[in-house]
Amino acid sequence: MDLTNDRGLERAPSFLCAALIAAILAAFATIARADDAALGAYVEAKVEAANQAALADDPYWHRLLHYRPTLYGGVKSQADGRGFFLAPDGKTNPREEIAATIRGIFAPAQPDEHGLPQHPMCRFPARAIWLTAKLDLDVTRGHQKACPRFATYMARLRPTAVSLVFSSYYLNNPSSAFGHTFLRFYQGDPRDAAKKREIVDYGIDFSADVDTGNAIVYAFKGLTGLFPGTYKRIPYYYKVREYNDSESRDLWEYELDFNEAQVWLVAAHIWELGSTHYDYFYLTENCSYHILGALEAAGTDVDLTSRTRFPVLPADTVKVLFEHPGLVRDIIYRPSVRTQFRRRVATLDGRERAMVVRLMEDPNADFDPRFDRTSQRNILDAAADLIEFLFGHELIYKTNSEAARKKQIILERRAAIREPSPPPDFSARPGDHPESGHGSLRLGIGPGFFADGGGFFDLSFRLALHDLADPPDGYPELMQLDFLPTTIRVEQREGRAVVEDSDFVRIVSLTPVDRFDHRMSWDFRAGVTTPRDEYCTGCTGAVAQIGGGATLATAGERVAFFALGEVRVFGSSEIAGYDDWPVIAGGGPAAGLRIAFSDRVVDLVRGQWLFFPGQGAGQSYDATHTLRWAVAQNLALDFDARVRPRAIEGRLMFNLYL
Amino acid sequence: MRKILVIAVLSLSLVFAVAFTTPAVAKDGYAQAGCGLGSLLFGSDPGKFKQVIAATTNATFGTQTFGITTGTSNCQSPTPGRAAARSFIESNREALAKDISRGAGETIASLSTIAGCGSSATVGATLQGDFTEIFPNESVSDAAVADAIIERLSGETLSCNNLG
Repeated sequence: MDLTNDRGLERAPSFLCAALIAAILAAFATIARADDAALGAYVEAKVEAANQAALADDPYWHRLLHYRPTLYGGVKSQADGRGFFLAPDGKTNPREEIAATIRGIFAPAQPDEHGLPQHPMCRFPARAIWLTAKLDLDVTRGHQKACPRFATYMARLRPTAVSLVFSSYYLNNPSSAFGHTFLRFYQGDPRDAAKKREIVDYGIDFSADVDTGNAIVYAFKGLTGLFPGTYKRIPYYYKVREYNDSESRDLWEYELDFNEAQVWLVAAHIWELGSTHYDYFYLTENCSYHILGALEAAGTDVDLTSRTRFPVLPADTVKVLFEHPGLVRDIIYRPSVRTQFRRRVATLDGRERAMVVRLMEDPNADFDPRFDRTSQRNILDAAADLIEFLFGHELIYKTNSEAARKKQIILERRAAIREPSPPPDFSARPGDHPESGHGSLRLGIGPGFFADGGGFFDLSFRLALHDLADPPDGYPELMQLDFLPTTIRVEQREGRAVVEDSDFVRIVSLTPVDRFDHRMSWDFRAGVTTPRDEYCTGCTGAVAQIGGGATLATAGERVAFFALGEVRVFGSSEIAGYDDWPVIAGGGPAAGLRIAFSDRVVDLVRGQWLFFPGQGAGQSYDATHTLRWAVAQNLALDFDARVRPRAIEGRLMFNLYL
Repeated sequence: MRKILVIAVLSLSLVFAVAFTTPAVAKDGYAQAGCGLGSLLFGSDPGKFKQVIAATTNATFGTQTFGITTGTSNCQSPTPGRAAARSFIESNREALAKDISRGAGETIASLSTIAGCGSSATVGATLQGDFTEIFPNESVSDAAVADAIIERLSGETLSCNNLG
């Protein structure tokens, strides 16, 4: 606009300008309003169509929003982040949430709770896809034309297949006791077996965001849902290193029979869930539960979370997959460094094994001239695995320079033999598969008799997981981990019920000692017991016991002898120990023998002698023998005998695993 | 229903998808804290209890974040590329050392794929021959190991394609 000094001419152009601008703006506004009005009408018609089709009641919509029925007849979403819902009452109102989602797809982007622009279509792509399919939406009519951040995420994942991955237990590390599950998004050709062994793609994990280092606070918050749980995306090789190497845990990948669209939906749904959190409940809504929840986006015929029960154990979620025939189309086994070492050493002869031990002490030790190149290669490969198995954790965190030095020397010697190692054959044996394990909950009932007359009935219960006499398939051979193992006895002559034993937890971790591994065996229990000894017959009290020792095993760990030194504290209002405190403390030796005759028959003998110096009767003993025979898939018979100072008994139990 | 869904997904993928190009990560784009497994999971001070938490709930305490929508970690890219190869080497250093000493193994095959090498057998043999140059002693840093390996991968013998 040319502003001249000529007054006369000045006013006319500015007025003209202003009029022109006003006219143009008015024209745009009219067009925009017309466009907006047309779009608005289109959107509202689609919302109406959704109502007519009752899409809000569609099971798949409930899947994507994670609605669960409430006691009052409505529904409520398990997702706990505010930003997961576009409607103010979206957490409980599927209809409003569908309407808000449809409107959101066509609306301009709004800043989210972090102040970043977040268009609903890009934030909830799985919802957008499904609504498009159901309602024939033309998303190009909306304001948002592309979703670059979501596109980058999918470009990184590029998934062609998805697997549920289970990392198994390793009881010398009790925090691994229940296992763990996460997902792997595979990028290559699902039919290429060699490619699937590579580790170049992504894992998706669901875990609690922990903000405390205090054990008590951690336990409390974990059980009561006070930690938020979120999904994380991490290169799959991190998981392999963490579980296989640092923690000596086997990995099992269960590849799911999904087509590419289903895999896309699962990946897109995880993107949707990535912007929210769930309150993390260790026993229910934990890692393995929400991993199943993410997989259910593949379609309503994939029914997983409804088949879980309390408590949700990772191994049980693997079994849920097998309740759908054909859902698991391939299984890849990645043995831990510990397993790899054991398999390698099994192929070595006695002299070679002795050389492996020698190298652990002195990695520069010369080879006996009788060892040829192949022998030397095999010995060094086994030695390298052994160093990683014993010191894997410390090598990664660089806290053990001695182990690092030894490993360096062994690797240098191996590299000097310029030959590649042949690919190892680490296939899993059928009894190793976690899904082949017995049910984790066990109920038992059975009659018994006392040697000095009188009979009884025992009722037993165990919430989870496995003991030394249970059928060994699917569990580590020499591990016991029981939660709430309880036996209640109804005696004929007393006519009352007694809590024979009831523990919060009972753990036995037996590690066979051999020339390679000298680690300790240990056990622990805490709960309630009725001792039936000279001091206290029929007095029920609290007990805590811990023991340490060693185990010797042979025949592939199927025959194991263990000896432990135990320390026990027992307290009851009916006893008097030192200074008349109602607590006695003592200790003594315990020993046992376990023989797994087959995958169905296990024999377990255990005895302990406890001395309570200067207290009560001074000593007590308890010896048990159990022969457990798994007669059917989830049914086992026990032939038991037990000897205590005031009770010698025999018993037959019928056990059901669920 | 399933057919409609497949069609919708495939056609809408065009709206959602940018071309499958490698993500633009700067050559020095991986974090100063390093992509080593230890620092990644636990930062610089791995207390025993944090290990228990991590094992039980798989929580991570490291300096890198792995959020789905907000993940900022530059250690997160196993897609082909030089930075990806560096990340892989640093994170898998201990296992890679073992496999290189053997001239074969899963980590060598994976690294070959990430770096775009022709034959992982050739890569294994070449690196095995240079073991003492790549790993002169046990305390050589992860970064130096990565330098040494990438130098050989991009050299004439191996000519891996994705290390531009």
